[in-house]
Amino acid sequence: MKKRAYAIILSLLIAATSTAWAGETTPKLTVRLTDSETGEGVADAAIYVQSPEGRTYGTISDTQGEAQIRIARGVYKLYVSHIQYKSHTEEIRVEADAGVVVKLHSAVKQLRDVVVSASESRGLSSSSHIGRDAMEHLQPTSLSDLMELLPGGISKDPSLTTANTITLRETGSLDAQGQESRNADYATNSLGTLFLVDGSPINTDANMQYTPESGTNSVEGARDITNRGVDMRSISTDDIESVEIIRGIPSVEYGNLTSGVVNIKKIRKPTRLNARFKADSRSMLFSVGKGFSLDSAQRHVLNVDAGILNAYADPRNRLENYKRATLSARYTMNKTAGRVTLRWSPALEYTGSFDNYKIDPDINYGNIDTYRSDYQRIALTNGLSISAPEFRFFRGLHINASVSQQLDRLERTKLISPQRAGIAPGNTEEGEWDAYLIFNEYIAEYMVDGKPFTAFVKASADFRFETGAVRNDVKAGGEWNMSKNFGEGQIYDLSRPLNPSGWGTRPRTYYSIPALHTLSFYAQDNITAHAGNHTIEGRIGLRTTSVPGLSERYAMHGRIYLDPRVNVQWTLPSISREAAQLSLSAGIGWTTKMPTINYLYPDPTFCDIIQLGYYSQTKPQEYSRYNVVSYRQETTNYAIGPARNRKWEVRADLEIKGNRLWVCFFNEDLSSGFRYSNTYGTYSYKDYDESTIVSSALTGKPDLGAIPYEEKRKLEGYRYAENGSSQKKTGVEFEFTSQRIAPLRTAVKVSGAWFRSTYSNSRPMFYAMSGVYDNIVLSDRYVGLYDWNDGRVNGQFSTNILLDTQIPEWGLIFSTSVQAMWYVSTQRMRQEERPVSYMSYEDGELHPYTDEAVEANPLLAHLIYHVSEAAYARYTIPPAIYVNLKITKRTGKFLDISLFVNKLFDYTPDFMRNGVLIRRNVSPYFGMEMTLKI
Amino acid sequence: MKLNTVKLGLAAIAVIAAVLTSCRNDTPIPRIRETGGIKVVYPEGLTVISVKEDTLTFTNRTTGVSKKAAFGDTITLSNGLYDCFYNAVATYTDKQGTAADGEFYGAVTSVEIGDGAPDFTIEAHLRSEKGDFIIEEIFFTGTLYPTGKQYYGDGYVKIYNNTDHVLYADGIALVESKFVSTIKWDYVPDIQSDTMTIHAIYVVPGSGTDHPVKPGESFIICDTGIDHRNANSNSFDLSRADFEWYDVSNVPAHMDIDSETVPNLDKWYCYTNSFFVLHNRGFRSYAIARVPLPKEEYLEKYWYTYTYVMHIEAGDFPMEQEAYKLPNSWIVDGVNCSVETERLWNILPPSIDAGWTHCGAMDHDKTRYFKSVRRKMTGLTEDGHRILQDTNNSTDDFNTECVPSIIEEQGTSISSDGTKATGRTYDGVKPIETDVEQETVSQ
Repeated sequence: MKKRAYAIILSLLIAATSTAWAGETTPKLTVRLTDSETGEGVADAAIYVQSPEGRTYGTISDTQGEAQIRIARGVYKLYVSHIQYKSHTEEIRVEADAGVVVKLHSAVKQLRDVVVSASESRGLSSSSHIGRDAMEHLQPTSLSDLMELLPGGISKDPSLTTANTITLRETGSLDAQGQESRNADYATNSLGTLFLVDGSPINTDANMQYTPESGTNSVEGARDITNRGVDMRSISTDDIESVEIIRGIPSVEYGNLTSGVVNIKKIRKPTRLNARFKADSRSMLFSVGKGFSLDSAQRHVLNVDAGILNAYADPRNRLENYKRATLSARYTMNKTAGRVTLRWSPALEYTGSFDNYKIDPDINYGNIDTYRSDYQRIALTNGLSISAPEFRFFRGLHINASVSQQLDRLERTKLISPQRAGIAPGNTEEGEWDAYLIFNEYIAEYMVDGKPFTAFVKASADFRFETGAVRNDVKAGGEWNMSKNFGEGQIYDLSRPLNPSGWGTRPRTYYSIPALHTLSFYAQDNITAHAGNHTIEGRIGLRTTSVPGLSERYAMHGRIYLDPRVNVQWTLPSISREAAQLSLSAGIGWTTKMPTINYLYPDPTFCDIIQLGYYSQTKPQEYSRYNVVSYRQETTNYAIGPARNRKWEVRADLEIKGNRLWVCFFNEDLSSGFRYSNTYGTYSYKDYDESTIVSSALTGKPDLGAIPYEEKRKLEGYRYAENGSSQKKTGVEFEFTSQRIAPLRTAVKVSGAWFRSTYSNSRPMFYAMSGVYDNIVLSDRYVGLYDWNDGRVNGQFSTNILLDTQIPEWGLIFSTSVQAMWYVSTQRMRQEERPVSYMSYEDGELHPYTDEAVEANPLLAHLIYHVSEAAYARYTIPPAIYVNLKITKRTGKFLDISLFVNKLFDYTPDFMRNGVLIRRNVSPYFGMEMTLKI
Repeated sequence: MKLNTVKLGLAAIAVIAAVLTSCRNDTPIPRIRETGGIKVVYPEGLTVISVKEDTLTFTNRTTGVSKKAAFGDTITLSNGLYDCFYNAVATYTDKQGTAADGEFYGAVTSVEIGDGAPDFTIEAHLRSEKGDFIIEEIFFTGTLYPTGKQYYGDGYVKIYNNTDHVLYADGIALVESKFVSTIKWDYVPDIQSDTMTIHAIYVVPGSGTDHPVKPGESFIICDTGIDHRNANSNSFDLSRADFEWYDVSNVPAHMDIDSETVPNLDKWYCYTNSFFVLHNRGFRSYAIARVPLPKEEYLEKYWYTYTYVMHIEAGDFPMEQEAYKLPNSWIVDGVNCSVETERLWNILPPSIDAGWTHCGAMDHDKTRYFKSVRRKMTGLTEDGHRILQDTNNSTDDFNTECVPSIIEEQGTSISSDGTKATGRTYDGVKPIETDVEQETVSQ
């Protein structure tokens, strides 16, 4: 214990003389740190060398796990300290430039100083690292629970019966009362967050499990993930070793993203048999896993994991639930041949994710309403990595490949009660058709069969060369991704639609939609320069992305999009005695996300207009006739481009005596986010005069030829995908971590973030004003095009104070977090009331909206969109403070018991808002778990 | 058959003399007027100052023979079961003290006249002074499918001729209020006391004498005039209704059905892009009116803009809205509807409706379906016409949550499980006694 304390204190002392320029003759000591199990470099370790006289020199290992120090010839003591590894001490003799390789042993098995939260990287880009211990202490049900560990994160009750998509560095869409809302228009950043599992992406580009109701506040709407990215519910945390969430500017190695990277590394090492059983008020989870060592040297390891989860929206209602089953088998082989290390890591993964909803027909007059959505993914991933850390130029080659097949099926059954008699489309093509008449209620069945298949190959080579005092680590590679949906698509009976008003769509097969390929190449140079004990590290990279195979009609055809990204970090020499280390970083980068298959090949819209509506009183079933003209409106937007985000950030990171404070300011500007926008077209139809039908003379359906008609035109709207969303993110993230206060055995961590997120449209919008004037429906004739910002500016400031007390001899970890959301605010953006132009039903063209036009046509006056001044008022929710408690207790050798109570105490005062008292009710959320380790 | 003489003795005549004397002294006559054992009770809140003329009519339920006598006179009747009607012309003062002449009427049905002195009470009512149609029934709640899901399209309004002469439905407008009784802001200008703000107006077509309605008869304005049982077995047949409101729509998602057997009302204005249905939770007020202007002139002149401040937690939102307005003086009859738990105000002022009626006690009340509000019958005329109560206070005038009259007539479902209506009533409460008629037939 004493030795360790000594090592830590020493490690914090930085020599006073370090500022002196070491000169040409001073030898360079290169320390390379590797993980004893994986052979990978260990970044962010503190490295100190101490001369017998007590002079100490220090530095921190880079992302490759290397560090260089120039020191005078002599004998030194080398100390290596890293929070996740056992400390290492050895004596070294430096005579000339020398290299030392240190294998660090993981400290996880030791019952000491467990990291119970996310730890911030010291690297070039801001990222949070969440290790196994943090996960075990947090007791997550799915990956989404880990998000509270990010700066600005706050614990949320798990919502396992709705899709959980990611929001990084943003408030997310809010409604006018500051409550979270699902808004498909602003989903680009969750779509544009790359999820990697052992180097292979979870590609969601071919997901199309939606129904005509998915855009509404409905059962399927809450679970729809089309164009929203990864549903984090489906990712179990039990077989994960660590998660690195890159919030800042990622390396060009990562692409087809706008926002960030969630890099999941699965457990690939021998472990005891772990059996975890967790129960909380809405879910039960059981998982079991073991890492088998297939030989004594642990060169061949097989990890096998399985887990099941059963969750309810409300424990009293068993009919709305979510089930998840995961299976994973991962083989890892490490082989060393001379100076080359070979690592082969194939894996087979299965994820089953099942949503169920139904209402009980026994208590609802036999009312049938069920929803079932299955998502099953089988992925075969392969990783091959050759590392040659001691080679002069070539340092390694990494190849990742994967194929995955999803078997998705959404089944919706609903009792539909038409009002009066209804009509349903009778055609799948354009033209004039008779509609089906629907009498009585019917059971609609809607099925979506999706079989997204994805394939991925990525190859990356590492090189190193030195030019003078500058070291260059070059990475270059390429990546190919493909996705294709082989599903049967939307299957339903047109005459029994899911919604009597669901006329716009017709069944569509997914296998007929072309595959999407993305091809990328990248190269980056990681430059490290030492000037005295200043270290300057820079990373400059470029990534190209293109969509090969796309039809020439698309503007994206043949285009190559460039993502330049630059990061710089300047680490100042330690200030003597104070043991202080300061580093400053900055970066700017562009990121590009290609449109999904759904955005590139959207469903066509059918525009249907009733031409004849004749209801026969005598023989309604036989003689009634409803004639409809249908136009198949292509909605493909060939001008669509990728969503591009510009990110920049500046960061300062200060460490004094083991206490660390970092602050990061970031800004992201995405103005080409994807959304479906409305547009209008003009359509002609025949208006038959039903009054000429003589019902007594009918012997069948009335003959259209005998009925006079008038040709008319009207406007009809449809939706198309465009780059019309703007998502701007600005904010400050900060974190302070104290050294463990020995007498209290407690470490304090204060983290928090201020976010300001702006969600708006970035292109002029059509808006149909409602109104009927002299029996003329205004929007049938004229719609305005408004150049306005139909969005909101949201803000929030939250802090999280985490007190983590660890008493290793009792096997007890006890953490209390005080999470405060100091405010949440939202404000509607100013809207121009006057349209810039309007579309007329007569010609389907846009005309400028002028005073003269209004004078000539008074109907146009109704296109002015009035917004009440008060609607622009900022809505602020006052502070809400919660206290969460988590306890992990190791009992005996085999059993860990954990317990959490979120919102054990809360301070959520009622507040007055415009004279209205708003009460906030908070109920604690708790659960416990047991982990058996044999 | 034994004869019995109902003697309205000298005492009764003395009462009338006393009334005539007291009239000069401005002393009101008592609320209860009595002759023999027959008592007449005048409506509460009204003070009858003088009775110009009043009569009692006895109709034998078995033979149908009627005998009429002045109040206080002697009349000879054979023993039997009678309906007794009271009619009077009198001067009265209302609650505000305003004096007026009016017709009072009252009735009791199935009175046994035997050997003893008659002993019964007739509640007298003031007959509506307007002499035009009244709203007899509003069925706004709709029916339910056998699965318990809501069905729209079978709502209707029944309009009754409560007078003693033929009325013409031509030009009668059915309007729905734009405001709901469950939300109240301070609307500026505040025109509520003399004007109704409406968002739907449908007018009975005709030249003025195309659609005669006889005394004691009614006509039905419905949503969709088809046999709704084709779509919902729990609904009923409206294909013989008198008029329907039809909204032309060429959008398949919300099309309205145009019945070929039921003429359309003339749609002057309706707010909706789709189709108009009566507010099925019953938050709006309804009125019938005679607009003394041609359609174009009305639509041009009665469009107005009002403002209010919507005071909600998100802020004070100054709102500006546009709607049509309808002067109350054009309103022939109006009814306020609401629900107990949500009600904030009466949209129509007391001069039109001092009260309000309802189906269901709270918002989204599941028990409200298959129920209507029906105006109370106070008696039958000698011709057997119902006399419906019209005191301009729907709280008193209407029976709530009744089986709708058309459902009674057609014996269709009264709940989603398909239970059929049995028995018929005059007004949702008072049963039509068919047993006596059957006796007649058997004789």
